[in-house]
Amino acid sequence: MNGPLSRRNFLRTGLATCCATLLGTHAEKTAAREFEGYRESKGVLVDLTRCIGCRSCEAACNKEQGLPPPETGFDDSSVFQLDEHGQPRRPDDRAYTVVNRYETEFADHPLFRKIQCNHCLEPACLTACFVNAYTKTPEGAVIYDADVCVGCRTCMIACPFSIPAFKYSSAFEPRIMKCIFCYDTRLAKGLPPACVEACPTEALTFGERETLLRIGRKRIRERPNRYVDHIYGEHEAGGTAWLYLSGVPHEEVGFDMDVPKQPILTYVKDFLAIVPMVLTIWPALFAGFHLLAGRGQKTIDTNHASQEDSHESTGQ
Amino acid sequence: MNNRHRHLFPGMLMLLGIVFILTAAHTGSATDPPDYLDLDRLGDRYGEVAFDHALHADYAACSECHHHTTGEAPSDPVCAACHQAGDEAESVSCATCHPVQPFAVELIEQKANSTRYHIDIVGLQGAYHLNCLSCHEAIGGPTGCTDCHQSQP
Amino acid sequence: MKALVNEAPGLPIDRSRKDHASSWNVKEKLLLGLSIRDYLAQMMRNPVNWVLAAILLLGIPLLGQRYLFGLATVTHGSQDYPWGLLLGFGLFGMVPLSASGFLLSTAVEIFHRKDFLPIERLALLNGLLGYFFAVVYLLVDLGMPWRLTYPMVVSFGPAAVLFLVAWHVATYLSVQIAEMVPAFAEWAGWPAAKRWIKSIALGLTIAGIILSTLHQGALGALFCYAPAKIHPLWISPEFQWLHFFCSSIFAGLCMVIVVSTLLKHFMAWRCDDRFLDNLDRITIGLAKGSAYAMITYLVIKLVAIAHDQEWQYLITGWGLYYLLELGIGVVLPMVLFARGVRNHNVVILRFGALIAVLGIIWNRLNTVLVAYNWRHYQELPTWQETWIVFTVLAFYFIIYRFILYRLPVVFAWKQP
Repeated sequence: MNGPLSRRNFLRTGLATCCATLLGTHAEKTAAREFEGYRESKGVLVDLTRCIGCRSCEAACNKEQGLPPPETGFDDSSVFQLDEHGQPRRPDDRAYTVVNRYETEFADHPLFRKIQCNHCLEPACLTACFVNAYTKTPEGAVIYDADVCVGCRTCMIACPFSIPAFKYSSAFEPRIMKCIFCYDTRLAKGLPPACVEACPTEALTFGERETLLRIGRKRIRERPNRYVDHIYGEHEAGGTAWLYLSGVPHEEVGFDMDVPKQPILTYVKDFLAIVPMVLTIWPALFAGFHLLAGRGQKTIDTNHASQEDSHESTGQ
Repeated sequence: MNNRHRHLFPGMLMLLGIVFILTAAHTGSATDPPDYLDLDRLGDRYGEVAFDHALHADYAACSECHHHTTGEAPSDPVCAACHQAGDEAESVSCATCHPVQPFAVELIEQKANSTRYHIDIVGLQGAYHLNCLSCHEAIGGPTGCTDCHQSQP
Repeated sequence: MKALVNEAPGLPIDRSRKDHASSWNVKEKLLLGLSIRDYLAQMMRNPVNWVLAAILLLGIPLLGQRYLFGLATVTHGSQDYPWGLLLGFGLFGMVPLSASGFLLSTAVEIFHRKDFLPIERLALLNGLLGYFFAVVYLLVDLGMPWRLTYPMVVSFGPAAVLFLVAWHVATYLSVQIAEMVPAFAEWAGWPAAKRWIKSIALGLTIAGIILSTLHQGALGALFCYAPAKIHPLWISPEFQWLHFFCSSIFAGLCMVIVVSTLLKHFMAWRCDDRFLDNLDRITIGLAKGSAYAMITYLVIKLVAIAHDQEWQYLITGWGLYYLLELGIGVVLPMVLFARGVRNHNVVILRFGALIAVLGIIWNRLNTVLVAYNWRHYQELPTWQETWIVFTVLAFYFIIYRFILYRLPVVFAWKQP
């Protein structure tokens, strides 16, 4: 916890950012282009026009991840009602994925949307974590290590999709709970996650992200009346492994269209860039001030004192 | 037997099952369609479906479900763009084209490296549900899970 | 206390030697030269202590509940509001109010403003305790407080803003402890320690400036992680760190004015003449500095709105609330400061400082709680969480007072 060590540490981490900034915005763009996610990384294409709201995915997820049993069964459609805050359900520490129902003027029947971690290419949770508890695996999953987590919940702040949930109920073993793409049990072996396998209508298509984008574009091209021309997740938050096709504008079924198109990390780069500046320039600058301010001190001192006196007398 | 087929061995086994049922159920000549099919290979949360093929054949043209494979011109304009002639296929069984394991490692690799047009063939389970449900919704057929599936096993 | 001090000669203790024959021993120093009975008696007589006791009586069990049965039993345990009042007040509010340490040490050590010397130690102590208790609040709010040191020793996420905050706050706490060593060394009678710190004072001060600039800014930059969740008026990715840093300047200065005012009125027996006689003049100086920081802050706020093209938000309800926050929390005290400095009216300055302190807390709470999830819903903290906030604040007050009673902070330790 001593000064020099931390300073060296910051210098090291900060210098890279500093260089990027010195090279200007161009450098930032190339830096972003350098990492477009792992090749052959997997994803899921969610076709909302196919979802029938059966909640099979929720049931499969619950079983696969060994989550606590739901308050009511997975065939209970009353869960589609809004909660006390006027919000639809969200993934929490008891469910990694939830399906919500939406009534819109664009369709004569209710629409459904599944929510879970979108497994960003450049995950905000990962970049915000100060103990490196998150990992983006080459297979595409964003996984979490409960053993180093401190419980600061910055990942929950950072996640543009508000996915990570905290197990507040536990005093001694709290942790973040979030979809991990069934990484250890399935994805690492090349298998699709449990929800995908359970989906009866193949509203969830598992595959390489690049392939899924091609499939998505193909579906839009071939049936322009069936789909809106947007694949949510292609660019949102810098791109996500989970991609969404919808028959109605995405915002109608609960998608946040204000999620920035660039990775969340870009928004803190401005600050990270000043860190090495302050570390390197401040010492010289303030030592200089100290010397300059001290130089005429003796000659000023007498004047100063008398000024001070008059100041005070007028003040009383 | 090439690589791909070996990995689809479980699928093939099930296919054999269907062929067996098909031969057991059919009453006419070898080329006649079956009257009943037990769609039972995907039962997990729900039981199998006893599919009244003859009944459905009364309602719909073959191409509505079988696309071009029976030799009819497909009804879907997207398919018709290429398969106008109704290119008859060797097998009209759904599982011939719609894989039981659509996300098997090999299939995903194939799709990633494929320049083929068909990179978006849904799996068998998806094919059934998408095809059946969309039509049932359109003509007011039953859409509840246990309307088709036998109760949970 | 006041009465006791008047009665007993040689009290309050302000030198190492009791008389020419003997020195005060540690027990006497701790008990302020009173007998245990007298000390307890004066404690019981003080109505402030009754209030503190009432807060702690319920607060300590609530803290126990939090640690034994989980955060969910005292807070909303909200998935939508991962940071609640505990952090909103305790971390984001306490830290800017504790910027006083680096500001005054900069003025005195770097710019040779010896006229601020009488209040430097108070500012340093205010900084140290503010940071320390920000960490205490953190320990209450963290899911696994026992892993507080993980970012330093177990697992590193050096690209994260919070990593900077953690390291800087930890390092700066050490710096501030070092800066308080002289006061402690005088009290404890270790002149060597004081001499050593004096020799590295400049280094410590510059380290303090660096660390403060960075982590005050970093606390703001933390919100850049949520550019789409916070109302645009309260978040500006390019300027957020500047907003937080700049506002911490007047927050820290105003906090010193508020604390020194309390001392002048309720603990005058402990202050020496150097402190009391100079206080009005110093207050004017601090207020002047605050006013400059405030106008700078307002300009940067304006620049951010212009830069992000957010004018249209100003005419919405949120915009009015935003203007209200700036108007009451910053513009009003700034105007009061301007008037007070011109008319040498210290009362107005002190009033303005109090408003500014509350205004900063308001701003931080707005950023963390009100403007966060602005498109969804707002959440009022539970009464338990609020009570815990006051409980920790009570501990802060008790320790603050404990140190002020004893260490030469607002009085000079007399050489024997």
